[in-house]
Amino acid sequence: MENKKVLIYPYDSGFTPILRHRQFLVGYEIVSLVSPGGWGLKGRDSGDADKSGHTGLNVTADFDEALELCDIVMIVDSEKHLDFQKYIMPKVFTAAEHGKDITVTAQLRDEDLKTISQKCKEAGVGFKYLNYPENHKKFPTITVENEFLYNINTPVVFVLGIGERTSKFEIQLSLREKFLSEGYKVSQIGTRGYCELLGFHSFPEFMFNGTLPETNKIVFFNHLIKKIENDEQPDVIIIGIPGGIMPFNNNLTNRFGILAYEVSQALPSDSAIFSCHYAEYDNNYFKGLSDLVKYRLGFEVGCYNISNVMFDWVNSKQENKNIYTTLDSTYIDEKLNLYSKMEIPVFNVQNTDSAGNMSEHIISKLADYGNAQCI
Amino acid sequence: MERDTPFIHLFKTPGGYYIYDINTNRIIKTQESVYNYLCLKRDNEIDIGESSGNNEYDILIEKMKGKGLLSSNKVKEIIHPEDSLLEQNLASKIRMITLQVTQQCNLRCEYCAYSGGYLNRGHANARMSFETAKNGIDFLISHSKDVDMVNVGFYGGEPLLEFELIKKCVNYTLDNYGGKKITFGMTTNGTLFTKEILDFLSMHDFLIIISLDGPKEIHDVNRKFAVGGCGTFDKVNKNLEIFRESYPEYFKKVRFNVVMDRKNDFSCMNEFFNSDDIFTDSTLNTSDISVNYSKKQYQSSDNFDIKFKYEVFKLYLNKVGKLDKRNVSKLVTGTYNRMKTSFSKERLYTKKLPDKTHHSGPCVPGAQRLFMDVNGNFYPCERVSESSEVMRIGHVDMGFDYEKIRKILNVGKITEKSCINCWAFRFCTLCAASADDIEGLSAEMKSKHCNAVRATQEEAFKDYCTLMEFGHSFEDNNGYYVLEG
Repeated sequence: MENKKVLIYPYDSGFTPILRHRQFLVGYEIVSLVSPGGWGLKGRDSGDADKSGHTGLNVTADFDEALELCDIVMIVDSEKHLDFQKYIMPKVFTAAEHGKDITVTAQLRDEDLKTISQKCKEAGVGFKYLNYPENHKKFPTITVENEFLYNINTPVVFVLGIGERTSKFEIQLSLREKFLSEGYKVSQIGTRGYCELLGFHSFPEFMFNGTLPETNKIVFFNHLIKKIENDEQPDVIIIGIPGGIMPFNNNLTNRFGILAYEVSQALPSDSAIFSCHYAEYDNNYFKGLSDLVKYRLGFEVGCYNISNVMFDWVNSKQENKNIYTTLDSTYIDEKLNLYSKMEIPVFNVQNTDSAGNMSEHIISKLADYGNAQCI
Repeated sequence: MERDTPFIHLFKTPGGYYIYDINTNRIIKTQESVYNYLCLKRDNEIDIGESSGNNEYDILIEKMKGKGLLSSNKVKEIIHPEDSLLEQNLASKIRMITLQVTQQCNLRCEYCAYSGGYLNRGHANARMSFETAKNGIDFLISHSKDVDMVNVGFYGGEPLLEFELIKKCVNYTLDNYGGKKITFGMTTNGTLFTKEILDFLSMHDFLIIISLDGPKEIHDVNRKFAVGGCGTFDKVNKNLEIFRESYPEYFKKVRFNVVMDRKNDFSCMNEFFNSDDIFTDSTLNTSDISVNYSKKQYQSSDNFDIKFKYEVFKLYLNKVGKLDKRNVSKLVTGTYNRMKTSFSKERLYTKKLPDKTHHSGPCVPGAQRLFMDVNGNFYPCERVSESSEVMRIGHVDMGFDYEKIRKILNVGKITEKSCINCWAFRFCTLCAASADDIEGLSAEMKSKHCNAVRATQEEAFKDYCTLMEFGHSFEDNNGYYVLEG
């Protein structure tokens, strides 16, 4: 069957990991990347969005022109905020009126979901909403007396970070690519709500549910992994953990790293990739971080990644929100030399070679465990 | 052997004795005896380590050292923390561009930077082309990917002489650069407002700064029309009334830039801004006549200083709950806001000074307030001299000159030795403009400002601590604690 031609809107670095691994978008061909003019990407290679090398696809700001080339308009998450009613909804309407199918992976409010659904119905075009599948939302309440955890017998790799914007999704897709190419059967839970589109599971929505007891979430997560293990019989399970692991300070709380803690309680990991924002760290920093993860979350860090995103402490403090600076990924390559002698290796996932080495390091770690398995 | 002299600054207020610990950036309230003991050691150049360890002061000092205070550590090399990431920051974090739409002005103000009294360009008929303006706006957008909100400012001369160009620039920006929060701003002398102009500024929610120095007898001393030389107060005042009548809500957002010529009568200014109901909801930005690049020295009168300080005193009385806010002058509220920002909001506490860093003061040239002249030349901001080769940091068609920007950013390098030993290192307010003699950056020129910076900072420390002694809270109160014992 011929691939469907897709227009991506609004495009920015939030979508770049998927673009760089677009082989996972089975049945789709990305033909246009449309970004609002104010985002500064118009006419530039889409790789400029994450400053990690060109992709060969240029970004346009002309939605109407790009619309002619596609079968489907895909409304995606973006790192930058965009007023939904002012910019996105009118584009959805235009697309539907031009007979284009609509797919939305960004999270919608109920009323917007209803409006888009209705509009697509009226226009006679297809509509898919791919944000957190329904089956992840419904779990029976478990009473405290019946709380128990299954043993997970498959090797597990965690991907986690010090905070948001640490290239975690790129690491997850890069790992997936490597494991699959080496012939492993991979089960995976990703940090985003539309990973089914890429052939694996989204991070379960119940983990964000404010009405569920935290202990239930831990148990549900464990049971979900067990179900996936039973159903899919994988060689490895890769789990991406959204958010960070701890507050940065009293004002920037990083949601207290609660998800990382709950996942770590739900199941043990055999290896973990920990990603940091860029900064000039000394070796003691990584040693301290390894100890922190070991004693707070109970697992060992297998390797580190330094993302090409820097946390802007000065402006974040002044404006009381998280502000970042994107650096050219080649700059990170230069800095990696500083850590070449570290016991736990440090990689740059935005560099293809370094990303390959990262995956190989994890595979070899898991193989070592496999060689000394206690039965 | 290295001396163990703590890197501290000692000061006292009528209510307390204090140690400012430069390494940790904390202020410690201490006992008079400890203060005197530390003064003695400092004055006799006795190492802090040279003690028997038995007397009560030495025990207290050891206790403080145990908490990481009183370190003798100093910066080893002056280099700005943003130096290594300069190119990266300027590629994606430019927050604003100010377009000099014209070099012409319909006024000839005595203290104006372009009046001939400064080492700067003079008024000229040069105006910016739309093509250059567009390039400037394009440059801003393509260099601000990591910034949520950017600002396009219009400056002159008098920018409203080029209202048609401003309109085209705003429409071009909005038509082409959706999806980003873009604000517009303008500094104007307020003499050229028309209904059409006010409609446009209001529709686009311009942040307007109007220069107004006080009542007629003060304003007209310096701010005069180019043709005829008459004072401009009557015209500005009439325009303000029309403005407020036409757009009462929008008018509340207008800011006034008040240049305080300290030869004038402060009471007269004060009464004008605090009694005229036109300023009830407005923000006043006060500043002294600029001394950077000035060919002459401006004198202050004792009368002005005494009255100004008295109003500051009343402001502080209000902050400690002893005086109603209605009695506080709008002309001095900035004093408190600056103190709060510097001591509370922006103060970072550290274990020690890093080996390599830079004194406070310089911004990242080009990233914070990029200024583009009519010809497309870039400057760090609108306050530097356009005649200065040092300050011309690039061109819209060629991009930035990073070598020049690095020199401006690292201006502390030219006074490295004295800066490293200066207790006001973390609160310095000097940037390259204070060292710019048009031909280069002068250490001698920069150093001339140092005593004034330290004196101002010492006063700020004392005011801050006095307010705390009287129970005022600066919300985020970290860093001020009473040492027990």
